[in-house]
Amino acid sequence: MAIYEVYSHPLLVRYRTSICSKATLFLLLVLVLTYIPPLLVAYRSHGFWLKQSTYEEQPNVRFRYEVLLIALNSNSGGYVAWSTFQGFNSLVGDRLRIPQVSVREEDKNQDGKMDQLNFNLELPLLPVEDVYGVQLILTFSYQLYRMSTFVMQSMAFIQHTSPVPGARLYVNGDLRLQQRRPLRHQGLDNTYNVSVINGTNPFASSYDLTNIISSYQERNVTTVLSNSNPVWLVGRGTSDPFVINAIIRYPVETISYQPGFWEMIKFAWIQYVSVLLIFLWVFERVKIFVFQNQVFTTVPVSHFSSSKPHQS
Amino acid sequence: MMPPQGTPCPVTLAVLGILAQVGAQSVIGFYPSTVFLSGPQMTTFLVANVSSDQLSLAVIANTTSLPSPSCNGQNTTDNWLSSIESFADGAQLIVSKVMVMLRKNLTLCSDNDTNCCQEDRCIVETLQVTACENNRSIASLLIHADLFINTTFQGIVSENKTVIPNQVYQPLGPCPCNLTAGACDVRCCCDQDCSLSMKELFNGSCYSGVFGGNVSPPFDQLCSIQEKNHAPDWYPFLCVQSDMDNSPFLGYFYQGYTGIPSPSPSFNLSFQSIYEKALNGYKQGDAIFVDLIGFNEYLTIPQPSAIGTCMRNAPVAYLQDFNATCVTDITVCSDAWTFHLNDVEVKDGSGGTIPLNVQLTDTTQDVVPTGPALPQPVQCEVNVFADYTFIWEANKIKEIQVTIETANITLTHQAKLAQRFTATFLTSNATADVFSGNPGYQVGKPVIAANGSAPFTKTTLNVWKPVLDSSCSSVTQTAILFGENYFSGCLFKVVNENCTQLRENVLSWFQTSLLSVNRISMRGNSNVRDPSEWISIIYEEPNTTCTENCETENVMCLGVPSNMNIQVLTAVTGVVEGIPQEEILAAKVSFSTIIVNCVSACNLSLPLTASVEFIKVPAQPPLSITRFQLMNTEYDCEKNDVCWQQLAYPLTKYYSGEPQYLTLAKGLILAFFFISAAVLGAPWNRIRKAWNETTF
Repeated sequence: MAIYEVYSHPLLVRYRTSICSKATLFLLLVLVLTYIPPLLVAYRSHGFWLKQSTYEEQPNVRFRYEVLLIALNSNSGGYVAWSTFQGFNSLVGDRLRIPQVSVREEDKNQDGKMDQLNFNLELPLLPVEDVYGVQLILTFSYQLYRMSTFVMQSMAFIQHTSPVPGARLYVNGDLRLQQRRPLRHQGLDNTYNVSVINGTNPFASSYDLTNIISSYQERNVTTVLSNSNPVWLVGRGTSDPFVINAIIRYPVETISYQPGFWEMIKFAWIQYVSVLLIFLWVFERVKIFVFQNQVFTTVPVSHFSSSKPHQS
Repeated sequence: MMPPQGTPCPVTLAVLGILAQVGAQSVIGFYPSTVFLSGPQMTTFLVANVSSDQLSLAVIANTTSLPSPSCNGQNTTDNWLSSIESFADGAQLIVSKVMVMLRKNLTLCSDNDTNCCQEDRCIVETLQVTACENNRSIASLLIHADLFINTTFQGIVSENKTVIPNQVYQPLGPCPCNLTAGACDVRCCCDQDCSLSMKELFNGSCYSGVFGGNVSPPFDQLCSIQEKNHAPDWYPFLCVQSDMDNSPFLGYFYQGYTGIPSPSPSFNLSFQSIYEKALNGYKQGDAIFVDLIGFNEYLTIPQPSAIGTCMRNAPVAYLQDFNATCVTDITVCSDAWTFHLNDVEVKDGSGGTIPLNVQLTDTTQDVVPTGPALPQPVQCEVNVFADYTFIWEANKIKEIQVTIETANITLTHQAKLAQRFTATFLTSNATADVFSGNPGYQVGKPVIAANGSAPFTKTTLNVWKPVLDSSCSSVTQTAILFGENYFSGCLFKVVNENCTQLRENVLSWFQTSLLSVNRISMRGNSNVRDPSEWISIIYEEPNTTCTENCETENVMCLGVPSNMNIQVLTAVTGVVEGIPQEEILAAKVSFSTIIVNCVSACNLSLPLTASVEFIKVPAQPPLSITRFQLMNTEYDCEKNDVCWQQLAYPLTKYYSGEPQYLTLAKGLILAFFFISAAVLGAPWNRIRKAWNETTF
């Protein structure tokens, strides 16, 4: 009659030796070789520590209702200006021109965060005046919450000049985040929660566009009006105002940040363990070979063999 | 339902038939004799040969057959009043004016009012008016009245407060297109003011969507909608069983929450008043005030702002120097900015005031016309330069000196006038020895040079600054600033020179215009008496005489110096309070030459250039490194991403995401878990057992 394997189970064999023996030394060596090399392999093959990561978030942007407008009304340097800063307005003197401004922020998808700003400015002009160029600064408060709470005051700078006198400037762009360094992964970061334009100052230098831009560009995190596609429309009627239509969108941003301790450990652990499994398997085989073949002298005690003398 | 207006009703047809018979016989009758009435009153005229004194009104209930005119009725009915007034009396034919009026108001009944309409279509009646004379009918008139209520709002706006219902149970705006109170808005089908018959007029074209009114389309979370939308099978557990009256579209689901009004208006033009501000000494950046009969006013000097043009009323900040050049288009004398400094009293910061020490000097200024000619020349005295020097001590101003240069100009054309304004804050009046750094050079400060022997007279090392057409005859000079590499040049006029002459002329031009110094200061504060702190400039002068290939000199000039290169070696030689101090180690002037193809009877502009190069060298010569050291980047984290120092990256100083103490604490927690896991697990457990067995 044919014999078949009806059942099988593993056999536990215990190998005994004294603490100070070659077998103990071998076991220690194997222990070190099992656990340390996977770390080295994982580390030296790059990407072990997650030094930088990204996340997506739509920022909470609100228009701060701060405007600084300069309109060149002659091609030899004459201009009219207006701002929401009293200091600047009194500096400008008789070049001050009060425009009509209408501002609306829209939350298109009803998620509680504003999606776009509709800024409309009508600058009255004398019939003999023409507008050749516009410089406009709008300021925003910009907030991110998902990782670290990041709060700053930022700006959008719109500048357009043309040799042809214009009737309307149409700007439609995105307020993008510019990062020179990654954000933190937690905590509150309000380093840049300071005014872009120091409106409490009466001095001429604090409203100088070069000073405003240079101090703004010193920041590591800024916003910039990108993809703005300015359209300069001509053909203004003599009694019409000069109109600036700006649509500034607040898009979802991909923000880079520096991961925290536990996040780094987690990703490192995944890599370490996956390499470790191979080493564990290999050295298990090595140990079985060494002890089965009695490379180092040990006393094998099998459950099966130890119970045999009793039976005989 | 209202009859369509285009088709004549049966009544009108019948009346028309009768009228044709009557009209053929005589002119006696009502004109017009049949009326379609849509307003509350009407007027018609009766032509008769006898004077009629009586009108009889009768309501015709059955409009299919017309009853014969009778004089039995009154001149009023429930709804109508009538009156007759005869004129043109005495003639053969008597004309009377007949008026029929509605007794009711065309408004919808609100309470127990009777003088009103019960419904929107107030009255639909056919009325027969008979004119009688001694109970004999003369003529009859048919009126078909179809009256609607007056929907135009005529009420008085009451000043009572409007009670706003709780929005949870009753939305504030159930019908957003209802824009006129008390009147029916066209195409707004949810408007309660619109009657059924009115709605039929625009029933097919109601405003759609939420703005069309009280719509409640089934919303996504509704259980009944899920089956249609191929929702996932777990949806029935999470959907909303709701009445269709509930609608998230009109906010029925939400509790109205309290909105917090913005604490300040959006366009906020706040401004601090300075006029009565008390002064307790100036700090850096504070505006300087002048005293104006006890009140504060800014001290103003024109300064550029915004797009670079000057602003006249710019305040001056304490301890902030500036140097402003303002260019104005000038056509009349008053276009130039003038100063009235005679009775200006500047607040010194400690309660007192100080006057301005004004010094006027005359200068000359050429004005180049840039615009159209003026009708007649104008003589002007303009200020071309104003220099304010503030002598200060602690937080008060001790003295203010103002130097104003005025010039007489004659304007014949529109011109550009440049005016310069400077403000300098000094602690004392004496012009001290100006350093370019202490002790090392500061980047951006002029390189100090000198000539002769100790004690040296400080001057600067210069390069050309081309102006106008960049010819060498008009070139000016500018100081070389430490750490900034320069390039500039000018065009040198060559007129019919032989080669040796040309080389000599060019070289001497270089030497006279740029190389008037032979020593250069090593540090920003080098002692003028100590020659060891000044190093000699190394010159490498080219030969001016022909050295080789002299026969080609008939065709072209070889080796004409054209570029002077000043190389300055600098090094960081020490640190003062953590700031590296830079020193000049050596300076070398060398020339590079070109071939000039211009020998006899030739005029050309030869470009001469000067360049300055700052070369930073290590203070100590670095040890030469072997090829192995160059390639071995195992421990150099700048060049190797997997350097050994960053093996435990989160615990090292390279990681800046968290403070060191936090990463250390977290690392120790982690280590604790690993060690306890190791100690509790095999083979330590077994070793521990064996150990215990041997000891006991």
